[in-house]
Amino acid sequence: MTHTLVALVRDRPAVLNRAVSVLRRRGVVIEQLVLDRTEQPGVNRMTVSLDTKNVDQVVEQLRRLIDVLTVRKVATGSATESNNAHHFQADGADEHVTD
Amino acid sequence: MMTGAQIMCEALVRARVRVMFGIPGGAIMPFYNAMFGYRDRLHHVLCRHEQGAGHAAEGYARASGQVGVCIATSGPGATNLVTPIADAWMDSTPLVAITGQVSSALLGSDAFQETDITGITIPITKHSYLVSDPRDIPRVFREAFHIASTGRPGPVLVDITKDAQQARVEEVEWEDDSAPLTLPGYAPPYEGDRTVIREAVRLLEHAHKPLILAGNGVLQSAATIELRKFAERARIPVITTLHGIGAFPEDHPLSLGMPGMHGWVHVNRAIQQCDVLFNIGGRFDDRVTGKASTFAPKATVIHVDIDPAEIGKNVRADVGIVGDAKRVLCTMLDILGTPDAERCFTTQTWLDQIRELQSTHQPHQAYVRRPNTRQLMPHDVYAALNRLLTTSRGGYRVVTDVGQHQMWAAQLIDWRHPRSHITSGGAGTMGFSVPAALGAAMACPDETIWVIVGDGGFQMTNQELATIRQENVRNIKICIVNNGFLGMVRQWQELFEDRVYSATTLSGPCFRLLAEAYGLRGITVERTEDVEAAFEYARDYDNSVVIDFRVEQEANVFPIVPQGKSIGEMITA
Repeated sequence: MTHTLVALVRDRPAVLNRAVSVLRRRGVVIEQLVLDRTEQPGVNRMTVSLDTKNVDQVVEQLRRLIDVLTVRKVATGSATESNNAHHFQADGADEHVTD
Repeated sequence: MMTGAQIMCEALVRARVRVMFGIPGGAIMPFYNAMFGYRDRLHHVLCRHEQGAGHAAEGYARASGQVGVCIATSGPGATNLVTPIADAWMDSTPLVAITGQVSSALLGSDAFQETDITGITIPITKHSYLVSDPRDIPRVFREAFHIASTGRPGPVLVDITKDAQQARVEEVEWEDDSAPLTLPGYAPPYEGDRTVIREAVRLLEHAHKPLILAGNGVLQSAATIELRKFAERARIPVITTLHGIGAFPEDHPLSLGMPGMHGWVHVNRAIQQCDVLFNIGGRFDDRVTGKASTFAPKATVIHVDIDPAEIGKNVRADVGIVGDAKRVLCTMLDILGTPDAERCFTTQTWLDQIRELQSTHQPHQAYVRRPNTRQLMPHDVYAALNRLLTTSRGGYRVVTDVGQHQMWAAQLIDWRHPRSHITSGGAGTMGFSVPAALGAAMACPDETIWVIVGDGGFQMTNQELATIRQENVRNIKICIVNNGFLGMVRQWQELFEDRVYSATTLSGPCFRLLAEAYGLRGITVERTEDVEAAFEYARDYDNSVVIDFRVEQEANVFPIVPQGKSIGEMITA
């Protein structure tokens, strides 16, 4: 099952590496990954579509990272349905985080 | 005006660091140069291998509850720290590892002794920093010590380029200790949800067969008194995991002992029969649960952990409480009523059932029955040490390594005090004990630090005997349970692989002479009747001692749950 997660992360050098490492050690294949800026300085948005049975554990282990501010599941479905999932930006994805 | 290296020293003093363990090298030399000017405030222990420095820092942290600090240069120095960093990660030990890095202009160029240590350690650190601007050092050190020691403790790596150590800073900006840190993604949840805690208390108050499983979190949050009060008032028996040892005194009437792969039969049976299992500060490691899907099948599971990622990870949590063990127990004590006579009867009936199981099974088990042989058995070593510790007037710690001797120690010593048992659990790092004992001895100079180690693990890090001698550490007493095998692997080969002893027979030097060569006292014990005297001699001798106990080679640790099996399926002899 493909899940799409949206994470707000600090714009630090290793943040993508750390997040992807959580997925890699579980052997999770990333189907799509987009990292872009938000309107808030210092905060980037990572949108990732992945296929895993343990999405809730992945979410918690991503939240555990110091430079990850928030993680939300925004979509669950087949790969095609989630193909454009990084456009799921409504639903509070741009919520403000006090830095 | 200060150099980056001086700022590092100042930051360590501000973090209240007193002792550090490390080895210098090219990329960390400016820091060592500055450290010389701080030698009255920062005591540096020169180890013989960076792995030893890392485990020593872990031992210091585990004995004291403070953050341990280890230092290495770039490249191989840093990679030699990978094992202790992984060990600290698995056992939630607060550790700050400082590594030198090549100058920033050379980063990524495969320069001499350059390794991407922040990249290598991403999966085994709570956080890490690559610092190339000396003005970042005060903030980075403050954050590193904060992250390592708060929430679920763990290792933090600070990798600092050589030019950042050398650069001069005109005016250093020091933040006040009380100033808030800018870590918007890091807010450990200390207070559990009161509504959920209330539900947990209600379940425990109505359970017929409740059981408490206490883990490392109880010790980490210094909640042993609260745990004892709660267990006593609710009248619930307590089992302690390997890292929960010391969280609840084993001579207490409600104490049952250790569960899991080498746990007692009555403890594992109690888990399989209980109707409410209250795990406080344990992470349901597979060595505790066996086959997780068959673990505690009748129980409603309450799981308290400060790390939300642990709730429901290995074992379903019917009631999950994210919070600090001490705070949660305090809230539970606020809510918990006093049991009436009927309640007391219910809990006593359950405890009686478990005790009956215990009395039925224990006399028939090999681990209690010492085989009738003139050969020196491992059991004799533990029995004598246990007598010595029970009557000990001074403080003590027992540091164990990994393998059979570690499980016998967990089983056969009557553990009573918090932080008295220090071992490598999650990572199972052979070679942990000797350097970890050095760290514990630096933290607790007035206590006796007993080491129990196999001949395999001892030979992995015994070079730190030189460090013990050079530092004139006189309170470490090392007991080698020497069976000439990699004993636990050999036991598995005997039980599960038709006695094919592939690569497990092990020779070694004369450990007595080795100890003497390092300037310590060495003793060899080959007869049961000499064990007690050897322990007394070691205890009273005014220097560190190595005792080589030449024990029966093929003694086994029982009970054992075969890997991947249910904890209901135990081999008892």
